[in-house]
Amino acid sequence: MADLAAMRAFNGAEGPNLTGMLRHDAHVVPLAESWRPLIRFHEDERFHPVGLDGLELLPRPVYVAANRNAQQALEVSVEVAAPDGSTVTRRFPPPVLHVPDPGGNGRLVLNELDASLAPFARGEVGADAVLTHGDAFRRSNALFGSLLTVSGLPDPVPGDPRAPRHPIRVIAELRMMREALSLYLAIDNAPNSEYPMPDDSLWDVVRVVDMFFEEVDDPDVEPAAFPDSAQKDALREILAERAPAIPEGWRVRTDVVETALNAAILNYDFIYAQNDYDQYEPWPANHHEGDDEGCCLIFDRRELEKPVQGGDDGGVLRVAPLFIVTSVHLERQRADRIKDFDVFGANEVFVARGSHATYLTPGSHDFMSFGASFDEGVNVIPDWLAWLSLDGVPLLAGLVAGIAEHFRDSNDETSTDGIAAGREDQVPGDVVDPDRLVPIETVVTPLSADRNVYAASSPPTPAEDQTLGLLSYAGQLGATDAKLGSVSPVFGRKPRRFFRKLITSGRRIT
Amino acid sequence: MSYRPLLIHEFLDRRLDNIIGVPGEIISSIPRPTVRPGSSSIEPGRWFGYALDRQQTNVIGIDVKVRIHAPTQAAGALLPEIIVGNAMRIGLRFTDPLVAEMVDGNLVARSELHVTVGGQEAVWTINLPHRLPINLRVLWHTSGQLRMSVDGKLQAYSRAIAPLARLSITDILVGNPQPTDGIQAARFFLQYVSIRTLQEDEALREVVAELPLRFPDELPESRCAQLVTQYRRDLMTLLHGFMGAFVRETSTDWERTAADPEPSFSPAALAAHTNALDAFDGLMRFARRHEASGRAQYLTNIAAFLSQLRDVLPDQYAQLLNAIEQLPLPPAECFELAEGFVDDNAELVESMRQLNRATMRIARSLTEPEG
Repeated sequence: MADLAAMRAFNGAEGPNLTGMLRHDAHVVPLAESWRPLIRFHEDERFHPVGLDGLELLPRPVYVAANRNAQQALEVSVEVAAPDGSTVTRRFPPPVLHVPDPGGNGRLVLNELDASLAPFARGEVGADAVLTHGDAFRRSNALFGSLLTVSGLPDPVPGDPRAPRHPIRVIAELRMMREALSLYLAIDNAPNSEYPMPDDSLWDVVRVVDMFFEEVDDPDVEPAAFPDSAQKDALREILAERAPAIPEGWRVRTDVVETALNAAILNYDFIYAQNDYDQYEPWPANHHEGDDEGCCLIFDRRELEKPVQGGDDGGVLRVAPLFIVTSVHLERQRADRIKDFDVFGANEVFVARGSHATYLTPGSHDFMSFGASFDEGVNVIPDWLAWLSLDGVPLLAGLVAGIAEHFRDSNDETSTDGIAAGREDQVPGDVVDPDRLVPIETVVTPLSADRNVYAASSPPTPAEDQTLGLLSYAGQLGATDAKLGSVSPVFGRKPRRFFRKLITSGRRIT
Repeated sequence: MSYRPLLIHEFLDRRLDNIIGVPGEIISSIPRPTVRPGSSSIEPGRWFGYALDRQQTNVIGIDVKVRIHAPTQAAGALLPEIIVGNAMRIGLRFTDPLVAEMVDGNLVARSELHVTVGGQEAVWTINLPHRLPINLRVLWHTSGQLRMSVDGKLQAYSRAIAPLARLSITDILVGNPQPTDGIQAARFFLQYVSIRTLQEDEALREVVAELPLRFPDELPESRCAQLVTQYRRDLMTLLHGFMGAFVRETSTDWERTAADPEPSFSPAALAAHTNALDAFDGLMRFARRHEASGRAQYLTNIAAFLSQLRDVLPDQYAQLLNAIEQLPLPPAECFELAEGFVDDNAELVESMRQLNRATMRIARSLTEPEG
């Protein structure tokens, strides 16, 4: 249950300021608009980012405009509670926002009659909610998929890409890493009764704490126990500028601390209706309803705050990012890309067709399967249990393994020949045909002292509740829930992931 | 698939260490190669490399991709060497005497590509455009197959390079590390380097990870893991050995020339390849999505695949089945250890058991006299 009142009570009347001295409308919004990369899609791409609200607002008008046969094909079946206490399958117009029925059986649909953002303000919408338009490629394609190419043809070719069905929208959020970590650690330390942690996607689990400490390099010293909870306590002290208690055999990584204190992470989230990777590539390419990818720019907050201190609001926009980071599939695959920001070069991000993994170059990218990671020797249990479970001579497993070794590559394909989303002034040397350049809307989440998503009137207005309910939505973005590697995602914020990439890449902001 | 990156360098910025890869450390010549966004200039005598934190063992496949631009230079001049530990060595040099010609309006120079795997070498010819980069790929598998392609098109193939080898890798080197005394080295540009490997356990692990199965977080310490690993190794060695023989019987070494523009794979090899992939596709549809048609597709195609193998190598096929059946299975205690997993995944495990038995019946039926 998403208890918006509890979130607000914890975060204070004005909400947590995560943007330091930068104010929302004066600095953060123009900064996000100004430095947003040109987003290049592959010419084959059917689905383009529609924002989180687009998943709720866009399907119903398409459904209403369809003929009855098409409507029936688009309706979504949901198991709901029957009057006799059992469950019954009912069909609903898309999209469907459903939660566990409080009676214990089946699901409760919240938006059957009102497919606006209002249902997101309801207290039932928590981590166990599902927002779905039906778990199938054909449904996503009917509601969100591109209809024709830019020149009006059915099939795309390089230079004549599929045109976006709906306006492209991305979500931007700026966080000073220091304030974000402090908030995350405070929430992490709160009793469950005080903060509905699982139900707030704006909050992020504190899984970077391990990066701030390391064992000393001394063979004569046996490091004492330093569990996760103690590391969190120590980091809280460091962020509060107090001396932390560090066990023997451990030390604080001061370069990481300094980087955290100086890093400002401007995150761009691309929300899609469907990951249809398997429409383009063979196994193990996957598919799932809903998709959440993106990229980020990392700034030196000191440089951003200097002009504000000097009363030069416009000066903030002249501060260039230091680094750009992309997200490539699962974080544990450690395939995210990072590069130093080149103020004289093109500021571009390339979206792989179907999978929506983001890269910094066009072309073919080797894809590492979802089952793999760079950690050798992990997960050996599944392997030998699977062999044993076959009983007798496991010829099937041997043949499958032998064939899989020869299966043709799955790649992530990115291109310069598709739709480019951005502004005209972002296209150096007119390398994009104007017909392929489309505008993009950036919706910036207010996380500042002057304007904040958690702040509210007393009592909160319906609009304030809707905004917080939507942006903190922690349910699934689709109903795919059957296969490892093919599960509808939750809109998880990625600053932690990007910060980890920054540190593991060896870069520092000191 | 199932290949995992050891090292990918896209030359995204000016940092030599901006790579994707297994844990390890960048190493380089002094002075270092000149790295710029989009392209690295490798001057004579310069190189970069990667020392893996942990040796990679039981490597049964290596996939190397480079995007290289090598402007035409002196006869015999050395271009890059790519050294993947002791496992694979790739060397490129302009021919001596230099052969340069105009092809489709572009000046191209002929070069020799030397690929050594497990001590065996293949030497092929590549045309290097003066003004344009090429995408060169070299792919080896323990079946003995070694392929070389340029810009996605197969250019050469060897059928028996280091068959059944299991290789180890501790480091990678890319550039021109050789002393240049007496040998002229050429400057070239790298835009992309990808070195991936296949370890013997990886393919099945990847398949299993894609199935909707529930696994225990941990199991008690047991010698079963070792026994199962040994059993699997023995089984895969038998299968790889047989498939290597099948490959040698159904294909010939080939290099693209004007007179011989297409590779020579026998109809049986092509049919077996298609059947194998279709069988796999069917199996995954059945296991992942419970599609009954996937099961039928698997059974039809695995029967056709095994028939192709039997028809080409009838005696070895029968020997293979006998050898597989005579492999000592892990003891009963190991199967008992798997009981919890079997119970937790009863439906899928039972359907896979049925399919395994059906596969064995099909395989065995092909050794019986017809009629």
